[in-house]
Amino acid sequence: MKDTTHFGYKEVPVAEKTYRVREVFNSVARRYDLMNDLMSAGMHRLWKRVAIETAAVRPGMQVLDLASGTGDLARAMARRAGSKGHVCLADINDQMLRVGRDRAIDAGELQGLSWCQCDAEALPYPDASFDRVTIGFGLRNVTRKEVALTEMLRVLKPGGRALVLEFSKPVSAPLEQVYDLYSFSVLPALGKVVTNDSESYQYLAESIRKHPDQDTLKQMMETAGFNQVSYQNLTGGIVALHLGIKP
Amino acid sequence: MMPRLMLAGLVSASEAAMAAGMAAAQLTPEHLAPMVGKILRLQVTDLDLDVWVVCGENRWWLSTEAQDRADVELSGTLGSLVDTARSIAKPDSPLIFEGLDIRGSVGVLQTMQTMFRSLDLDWEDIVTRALGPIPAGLLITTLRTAREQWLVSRESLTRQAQDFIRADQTLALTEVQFTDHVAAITQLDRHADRLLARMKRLESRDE
Repeated sequence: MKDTTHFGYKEVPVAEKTYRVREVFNSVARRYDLMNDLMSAGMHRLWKRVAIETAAVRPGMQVLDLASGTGDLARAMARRAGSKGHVCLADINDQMLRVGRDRAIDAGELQGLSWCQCDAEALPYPDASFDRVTIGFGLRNVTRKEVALTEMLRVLKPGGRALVLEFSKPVSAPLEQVYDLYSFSVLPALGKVVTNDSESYQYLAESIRKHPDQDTLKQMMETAGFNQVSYQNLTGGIVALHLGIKP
Repeated sequence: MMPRLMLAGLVSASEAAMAAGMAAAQLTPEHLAPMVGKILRLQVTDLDLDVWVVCGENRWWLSTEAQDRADVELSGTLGSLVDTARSIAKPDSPLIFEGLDIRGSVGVLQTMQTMFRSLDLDWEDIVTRALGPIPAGLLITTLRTAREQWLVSRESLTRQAQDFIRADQTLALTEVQFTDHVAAITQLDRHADRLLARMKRLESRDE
C-alpha cells in the first residue's frame, strides 16, 4: 500500500497532505476571490455559470457544495433552490468557510444555506440525501479522489447529478505551452503581489498538472459508479466540467 | 456554433435583463407563484439553440444546458418565438401560434398568460423605470427605428426578390429546353467524331 501522495510535485506522507492543503488555503483565504478574478481575468465566473446551468437546480432541491470555499457557487444555487430548497456549504478549511459565511451575511443571503466543516472523503450525511452534489476547483486537493467520488455518489439521491468543475489539460499543444508559461511564471508572481504568498500559487500550478486529465477523471467517475458520465472542455480544456448521474 | 463561454455570458446578461424587467414590472412572488418549478424549453430552430427557462420563486432563470425535464416545449424560429412571447404577454390574445410546434402542457402557457393578464404591462414604462429616463428613451427610440427600418427593408427585400425572379425567369432554361440543348450538343459531338474519322480515312488514302 502506497503511504505517500503528491502535494504539487512533492511526495508527502498521505496523512500530511490534508494539513498542507489546509495551510495553503488558510494563507490565501482572505483574498481568494480577488486572486481568482486576477488569475483567470474573470473567466472563473463564466466557468461557474456553466456549472450552475448544468447543475439544473430547481426550487425545493437539496444541494451539497463540496470544497465550497467562499461560497459563490453555493449561493447562486441557493437562489435557484428557493425557500423550500437547501444548500450545504462544505469545506475542510475553516478559514475559507468563515470568509464564505461572512460574504453570505454581507449579501444578506442566509436563507436556505448551512455550513459544515468536513472532509470530502468522509461526508457526515446519510445515503441519498441530496439532489445535486457539486465540487468546484476542489477535487484536485483531495488526497484520495476515488474515495471522495464514492462518497459523492453515496449521498446523492438516485437520478441526482454530480458535477466536478476542475482545472484540466488544454486540448491544443500551443495553448498548453502558453498556459505552462503563465502558470509557472506569472501565477506565483501574482500570488506574491496580492497575497504575499508565491508558494501557494506554485502549489496551485503544480497540483493542476498532477490532477487527472479529462478522460482519466471520466473513467474514475464511472468506476465510482456514476452513469452517463460526460464532460465539456471550457477555455480549450484549461477547465473541464464533468457530469455524472447516480443510477 | 457559438463558443460555450460566450453563450454563457449572453445567457447570463439576458437573465439579468429579464430579472430587471420583471422587477420593474413589479412582479411579486405572489404573481410568480403559479409558475414556480415549471420548466419551459425553447428550441430556436434557425439558431440551432435550446434555451431552458426555469421558473423560480422570485425570478426566472435561463440555461442552455439540458434540465431534467420540460413541462412544455416550444420549437420554432426566433421570430415565431418572439411573436409567441408577445402574444402571451398581451391580454386577451388567443394561444394560437403560427409556425410554432408545441409539445407538453399547454396549460403552463395558459397559466403564464393568466399571470401576465393580471398585470397591466407597459413595456416602455418598465424599461424607463429599470434604466432611467434618458437611457430608456435612447433604447426605445433605437428599437423603434430599428423595427421600422427592418419592416421597410423586409418589404423592399421581398419586392426586389420578386422583381428579380420575375425579370430573370424568362432567361432561365426550362428542363425540356435544357434536355434538347444537351441532345443537340451530343449530336454535334458525334458529327465532329464522324468528320474526324472521315478526314483520317481520306488522308490515309492520299498517302
